[in-house]
Amino acid sequence: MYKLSWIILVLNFLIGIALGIYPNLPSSTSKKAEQTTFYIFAGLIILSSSGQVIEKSISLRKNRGKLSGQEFVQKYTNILIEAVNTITLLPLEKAQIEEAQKSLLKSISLLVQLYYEEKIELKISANLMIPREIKDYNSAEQFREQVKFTDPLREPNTYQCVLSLILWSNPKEGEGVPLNFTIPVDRDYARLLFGAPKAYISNDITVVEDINNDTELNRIVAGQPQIVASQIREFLKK
Amino acid sequence: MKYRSFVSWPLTLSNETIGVVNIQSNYPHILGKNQRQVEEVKRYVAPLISILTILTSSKAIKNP
Repeated sequence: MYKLSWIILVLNFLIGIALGIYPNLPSSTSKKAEQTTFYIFAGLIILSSSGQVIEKSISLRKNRGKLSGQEFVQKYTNILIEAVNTITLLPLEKAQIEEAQKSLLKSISLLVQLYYEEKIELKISANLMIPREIKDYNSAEQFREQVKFTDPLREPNTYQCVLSLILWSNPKEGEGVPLNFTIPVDRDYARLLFGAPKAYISNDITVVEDINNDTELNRIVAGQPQIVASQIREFLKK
Repeated sequence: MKYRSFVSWPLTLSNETIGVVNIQSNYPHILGKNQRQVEEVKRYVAPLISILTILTSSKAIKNP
């Protein structure tokens, strides 16, 4: 089965290379149709196989115990090749992009899981948030209803934008934090919510080491009005 | 899943942040306990984040 995974990967890679060259060829209308069909077909093969191959790697890991460094790198290479293959197919239809994004979120989760493979019960998941404008909301009421952790005393336009969760690596993870979960991005850096909003504004990685640690929790809610701080504490303890 | 630690990673394209990926774990210290581990995990994840950034950009969509 492991060899089969490699064969699929090599095939994917070759298809990817072919697609990288193919669009540059002069084409008639019929050739364009053929090209589009090829795009969709190859895309589907790559997207459907990538998740399965990585999942197979995970199951192998569980059966074999701790991986050697070489084995980890080998599996990492697989993940990377699959991801690069997806790029060679661009541009894609919106639905295909969403599938590719999901596949990548899954790969990111599995990659971190592989790195810490000694902890079998370790569960990693990933989600994607994108910015949306305040003007997209019809009224202040709608904004306050749909956006979490907002100060009810403030007008929506005092926030810079919002971040909405659009994809989970695993749909089941959405049971805890649902799709369209939206949080504000403050204009005032001191009142900026920790996590995604801070990463968005600072353009830097932000890490929360342990939400069960009171010191860390106090750091997360620092600068927030009481009502927002209480909402965040309640949310993180769920 | 009840998670204990998470990392928020900006998706940046041409100096513009176009999204954020949150990676979360049911264990504390998602990127590791020491600096060496943290840097190593970041190095491994970074290329996938770059690819996700390209996919998330509007240019990736055919007939947007």
